[in-house]
Amino acid sequence: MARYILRRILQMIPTIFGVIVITFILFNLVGGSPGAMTLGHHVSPRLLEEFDEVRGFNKPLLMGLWSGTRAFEDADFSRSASPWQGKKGVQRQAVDTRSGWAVSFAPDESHLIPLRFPLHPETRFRWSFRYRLSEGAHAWIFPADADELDKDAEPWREGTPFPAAPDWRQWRTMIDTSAQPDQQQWMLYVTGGTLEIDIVRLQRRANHWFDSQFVHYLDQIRRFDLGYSSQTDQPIGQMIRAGIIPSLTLTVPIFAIGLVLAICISLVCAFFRDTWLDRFFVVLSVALMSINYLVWIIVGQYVLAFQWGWFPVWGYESMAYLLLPILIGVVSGLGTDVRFYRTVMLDEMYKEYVRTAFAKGVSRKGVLFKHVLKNALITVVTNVVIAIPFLYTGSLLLESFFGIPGLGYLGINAINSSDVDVIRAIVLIGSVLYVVANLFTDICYAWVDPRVKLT
Amino acid sequence: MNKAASPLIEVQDLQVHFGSPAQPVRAVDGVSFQIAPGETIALVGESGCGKSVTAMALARLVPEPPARYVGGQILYQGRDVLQQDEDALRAIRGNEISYIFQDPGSSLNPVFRIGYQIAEAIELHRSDVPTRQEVLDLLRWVGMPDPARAARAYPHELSGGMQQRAMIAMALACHPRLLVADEPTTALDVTIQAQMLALLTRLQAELGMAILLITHNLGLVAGIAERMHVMYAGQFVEAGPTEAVLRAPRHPYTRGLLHAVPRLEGTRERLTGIDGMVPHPARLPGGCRFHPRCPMCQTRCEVEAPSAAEVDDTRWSRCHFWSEVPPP
Amino acid sequence: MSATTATAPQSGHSLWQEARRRLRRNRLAMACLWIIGIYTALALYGEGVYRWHQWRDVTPSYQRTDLDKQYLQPSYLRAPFAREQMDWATGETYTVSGWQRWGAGWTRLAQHPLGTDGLGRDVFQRLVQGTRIAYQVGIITSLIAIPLGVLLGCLAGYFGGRTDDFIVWLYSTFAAIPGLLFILAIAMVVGQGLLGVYLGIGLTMWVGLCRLIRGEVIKHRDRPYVAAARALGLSHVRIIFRHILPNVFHVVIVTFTLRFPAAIGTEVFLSFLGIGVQGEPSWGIMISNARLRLWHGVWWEMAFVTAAIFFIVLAFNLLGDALRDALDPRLRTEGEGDHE
Repeated sequence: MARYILRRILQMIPTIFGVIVITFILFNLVGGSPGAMTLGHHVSPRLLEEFDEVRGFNKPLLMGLWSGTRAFEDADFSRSASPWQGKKGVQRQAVDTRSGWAVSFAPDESHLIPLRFPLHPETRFRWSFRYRLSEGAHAWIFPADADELDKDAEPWREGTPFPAAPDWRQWRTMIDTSAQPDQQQWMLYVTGGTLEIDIVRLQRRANHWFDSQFVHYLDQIRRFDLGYSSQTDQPIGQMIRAGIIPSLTLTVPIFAIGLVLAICISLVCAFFRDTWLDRFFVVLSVALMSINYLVWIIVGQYVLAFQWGWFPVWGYESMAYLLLPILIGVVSGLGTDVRFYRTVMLDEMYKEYVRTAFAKGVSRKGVLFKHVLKNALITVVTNVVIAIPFLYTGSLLLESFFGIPGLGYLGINAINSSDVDVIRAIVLIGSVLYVVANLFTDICYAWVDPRVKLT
Repeated sequence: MNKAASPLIEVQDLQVHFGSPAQPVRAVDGVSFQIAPGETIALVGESGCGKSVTAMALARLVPEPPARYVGGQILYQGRDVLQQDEDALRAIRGNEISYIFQDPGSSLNPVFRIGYQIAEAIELHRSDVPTRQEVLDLLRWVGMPDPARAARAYPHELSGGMQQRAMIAMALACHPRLLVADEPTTALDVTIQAQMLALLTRLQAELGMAILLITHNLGLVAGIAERMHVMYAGQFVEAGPTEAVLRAPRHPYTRGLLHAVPRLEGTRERLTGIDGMVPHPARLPGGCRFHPRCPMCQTRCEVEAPSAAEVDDTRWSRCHFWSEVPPP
Repeated sequence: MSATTATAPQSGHSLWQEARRRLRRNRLAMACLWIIGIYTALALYGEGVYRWHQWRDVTPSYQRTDLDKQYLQPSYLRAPFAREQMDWATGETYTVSGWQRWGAGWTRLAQHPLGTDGLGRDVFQRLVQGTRIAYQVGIITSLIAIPLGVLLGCLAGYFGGRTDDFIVWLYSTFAAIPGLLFILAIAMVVGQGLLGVYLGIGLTMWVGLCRLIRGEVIKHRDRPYVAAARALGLSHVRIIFRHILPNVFHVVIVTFTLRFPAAIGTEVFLSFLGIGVQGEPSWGIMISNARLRLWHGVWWEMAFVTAAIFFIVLAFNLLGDALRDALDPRLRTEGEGDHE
């Protein structure tokens, strides 16, 4: 038994890792910038950069040293000369490069490289250029790190010169903001010809090869640090802890009442199978499950609470406020449950041991409530255990409609305000609970079914 | 046609239908037979011919719905089983008429211990709860090795033979007067089959009960049954003393069944069997129900359904040309 | 046993013929097919209307606001049927109720038969557009989920070993993530609009199908006909897709029928939250609008959307049940079978 549980726990690890990977892919990779998703697309790049800095989103994805920065967006010259758009002496022209476009810089002028905001201090950055210089031309970028000085070129003030090149060349220079904390301007200076730039890129250096978003994420999870909500600036762990109790006060009664009702009705169906009563319940359950969940809530709230005034309309102050949401939750889920448990019961009714029991002289009641029910309980128990994690996520709609400050309410708010970290935390915890519940399901299964041995 | 002594159970023109009344599926269509106390009779036929439904109907055990008992009578000790209420039926089931089924593995309830299931069978027909010793004695009686362990075991923990012994113990717990054995050995190994047969014969002798044996195994029939009924498509096609029927069948179907059994002695002829399949009860052919598969089929067979023709005073056959059926 | 032998399929009838015969006898299932057919026709009509307006580059009538026609009740309840008339003999006026004035009644009956909403837009036309979007979502999500589930399920079931381990790991990972939140997260990350809805539903729907297909394929993998095909030297691809797949394809059909309404429900939910369709009259958006108006006593928009969703979901659910019973009754406790 202990060995089985140990083995199952080991088997849980890949699944939990898979969940981590999927949430990572979903929120860090697919969505583009989580900052933009949360704060909106019209926020200043500086705010976004700060958002990313706090949450580690400006690191490389999996591993590596270099990642982009919003201070200087990678320029796409095929569309415009950005970020030099409209600057004097800068021209965009068609050339024979990948994008087909480059910008050329007029000679004997210094051209400011426009940064959107001062670079983060104590971080190292790197400029990369793909460029060419016309015959006899010289170009410098200044100021820049002296280490990278090309020895052959003539220095101009403290700038770093481009080595002369008629063909397309790569050139990089490192800059260290800790060395020049107040230096936030970079200039290009060209003499004796034109400088053409095909690609220009500013990259940020990570602390080490594995200083990546993924490792940062794993590290957060290891520390059980769920981060801060971007909406309320509260720690997410605290928000979730506060939301669990209201969620459970809603979902546990719904689940328990729904389960007992569904099993009772399904037993009635099994007892009176193929009679009008059974058919009535079948039709009723299909009809119940075909009514949209939203409609249950909206009409229930409008008619029962607002028009007839039987229940409070909105809030979370006393037990009375929970009654209507619980009622709606039970009724809307009843159809599916009755159908399921009725099938379970009827499947058992057609098993051969039922025939044996009847042949022994057991009454209909005895067969149903002793022989069949005990067998059906195997399915019921496993089904109940596996449903437990879903109690935790609460009911998204019921909570937000009735103003119950649980996790469902939290979730809906987070989705409405694109609060990525909150969603990610709820999804992550829900998944882990599900995996754990799966283990408990198997243990319960062995516990209620004598045929199953845990080995 | 049969013994005049008052029969234990008498089935008259039993009709059990499935499906809608508009399009009935005639699973059992006019079956009549009797079983005398202490007698062993056999019902023989291919799967799907209605023999299991007939057997289950004796204690009104075919679930309704979907089944409907449309006609006929089942007189158990002079009273019609089909007319009795649920309580009276329960008093008969397991007490007067007991059943053992083909697959003991699935016929025993998987979540109750063997001992409990046997005790339940006793308790249902007695006012008091049986002692543990009674259950153990029963298990020992049916030849269960280590009865104490078996009583504590769940069905899946026993072998097939042990499971069937437990089923027999359960069926015979109340000393029934009729045991209906529905393919009791089919799911078992050949060596176990012989043990079961010996066990049943012994218990029958001790209790003096009648046995209705449902099988498609003619060897088994030859071994223990005194009389046999051959069933095809919901009807009996031939009935008579086992030995006479097996030696000289008077219906081509019986003969076909015999030919499907390999034999050791005699010439090494080819096993012929019977072509085709049992027709679906919803789509029975007209005329004689066997005519599409019958090697002796003639025009008359396609249009006219044969009635039971007496061969001699102990046996009859439902064939127009019974006298022409060649020996096997 | 008796019941099963009594309804055992006759030789010469394939599983599909038998199923079709059983289905055709099932009057309820045929009624459901009719309902689905009507909805499909409406969806196609809606698509036509949508395309035509797009091609003409005009505001479609279901989007045109007309503040004079705000909150019109369904046509047969509307006041214009009743009109005051003067009795020429006495000079008194009296009211003629609607149904006595046939001539005018019929033409008016066709105007806004289901009433209008708060911006004077025709509820019926918007419902038709909602049907179009619901179908779009149901079909496209199935197109994502079915190939994915079938392919992975076949591969896992047929090859076993490492492939199986990987695919089982993959789907148990997806299954572990709370479904609705996962869909919401995908839709949120991908961005507002239908693409997020498609991906969200599609990427969660394949899991159940994959598990079922894998189980079925494992059952068939060791059957003699597969061994025979292997002995003939057929390629794995051919064995999987030509020999095994047709035998397990009924699982796909049943799953499709039962998941279609679920996809519609989820779409309604997402659109209601404002994550799904933008600027088109989806059922979810209609509910969202009608919800506010309900508090002012405008009941018909809500009532008709509810009815529209109810009947299509009901039809699919009942048809799915009938199909399942006709094709494979063992699928009835689908999803719980993984313990066995």
